Amino acid sequence: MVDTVRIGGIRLSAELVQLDLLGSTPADARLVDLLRSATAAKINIPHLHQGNSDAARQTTLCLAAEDFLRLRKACTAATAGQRCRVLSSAGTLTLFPHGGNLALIIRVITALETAGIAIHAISTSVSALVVHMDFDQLERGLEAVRTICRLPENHTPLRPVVVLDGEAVETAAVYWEPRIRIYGMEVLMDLRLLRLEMPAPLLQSDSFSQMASLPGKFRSLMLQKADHGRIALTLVADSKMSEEIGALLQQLADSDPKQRRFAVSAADLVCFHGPHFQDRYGIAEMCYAEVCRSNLAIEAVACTGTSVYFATSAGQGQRLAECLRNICILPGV
Amino acid sequence: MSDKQLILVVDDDTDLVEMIAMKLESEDFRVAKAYDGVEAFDRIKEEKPALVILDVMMPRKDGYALCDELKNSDEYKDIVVVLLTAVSDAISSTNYTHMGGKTTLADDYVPKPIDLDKLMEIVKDNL
Repeated sequence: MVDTVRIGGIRLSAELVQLDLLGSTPADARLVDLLRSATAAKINIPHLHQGNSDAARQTTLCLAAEDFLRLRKACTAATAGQRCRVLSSAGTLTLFPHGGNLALIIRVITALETAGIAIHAISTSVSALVVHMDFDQLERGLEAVRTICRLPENHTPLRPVVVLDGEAVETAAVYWEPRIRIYGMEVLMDLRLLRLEMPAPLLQSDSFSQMASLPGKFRSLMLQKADHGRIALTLVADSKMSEEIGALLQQLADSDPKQRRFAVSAADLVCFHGPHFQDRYGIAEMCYAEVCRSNLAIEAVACTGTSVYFATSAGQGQRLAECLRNICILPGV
Repeated sequence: MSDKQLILVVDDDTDLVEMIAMKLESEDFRVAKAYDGVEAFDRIKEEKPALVILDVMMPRKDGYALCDELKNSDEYKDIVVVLLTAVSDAISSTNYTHMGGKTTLADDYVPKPIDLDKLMEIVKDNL
């Protein structure tokens, strides 16, 4: 009998283009230029993730397929001289709420890998676990994850265009404000950032499956396809949970030290969430540009759904939050 | 059975559902969640919440329709409904305005983007 995890629902995206910028640092200025071009063209960036490995910074960003054509010139400029992978027909499968539950993520990855579905990235928001795959694999992906999830009986997966009685239903409100209205900002300290890099496929190893039984909740998780067929898993969790996960990931890395690398560091996490972030252009640019201006070292970035997470080295979280408050409107202020 | 009052949070913005749920739990409420109007009505029938926080713009059945259904039903009309409406001056192109929300039979209205502290005050005032 397959062990299942209870979730609230599943959402499928419209067709997206995914760009993986594999260049080495410093590439931030060009990325800011690209994001600025997107804002000028009123193009939303629904997902932006960034992770650091030994010497390289990898950025993954997605935009709607129709928007990519309008942004092609800016994309070419931003990626000049960098290695860039373009997935011209990508999509996302979103499960919610993930509840910080590592077991859910491991079962989803295993189910998709077993079904032969390539995972191009994973990221999390406060509620959503977002898995990137080929657009034409979304329905198969949905079938695969249904085998390991228990959904409410009356749940219908949310789709990009909802039609009721022959008419499209309005489900999103696109708007603009000069500053970003948020629900509040959190600075979480004394966390650990764990990063594992290894050849794909990740994850069907004993150490990895053992992680599914660990108690505790992670704060943020991101998986990227790195260079040369490798994958990079970045996880931010509290120190106690990190000890246990770290031991398993270290064991995994030690079993093939030539191919696998694991690192752990102390980190702070600054996070905030806001209304309609998934529909509103300009947020990625405003946040990312402000952070670049601060010259603080950023270890990982994840903007997905309505959540924005910045991981920085320990002791830097408050400074990072101060700089992000410059561009945000907080409740009651 | 817990003495804590049950609040149902309904929105297709799953992150917002999660944040409202966390806030309510920190204020000692029990929370149920639904992501569209059809699921919400089933959850109301099963769990009879004391209050429903209801988004207006949702697939399958919108918040206006569900609110009307509840308020016109003998069985459910006493459940407090707080509508999450859109702010008309920030969002010019929507049918789901704050003014539109005020024409419904809801007990209270909170414009989006919401202030979570203000929402908690409204919840407590209505219970």
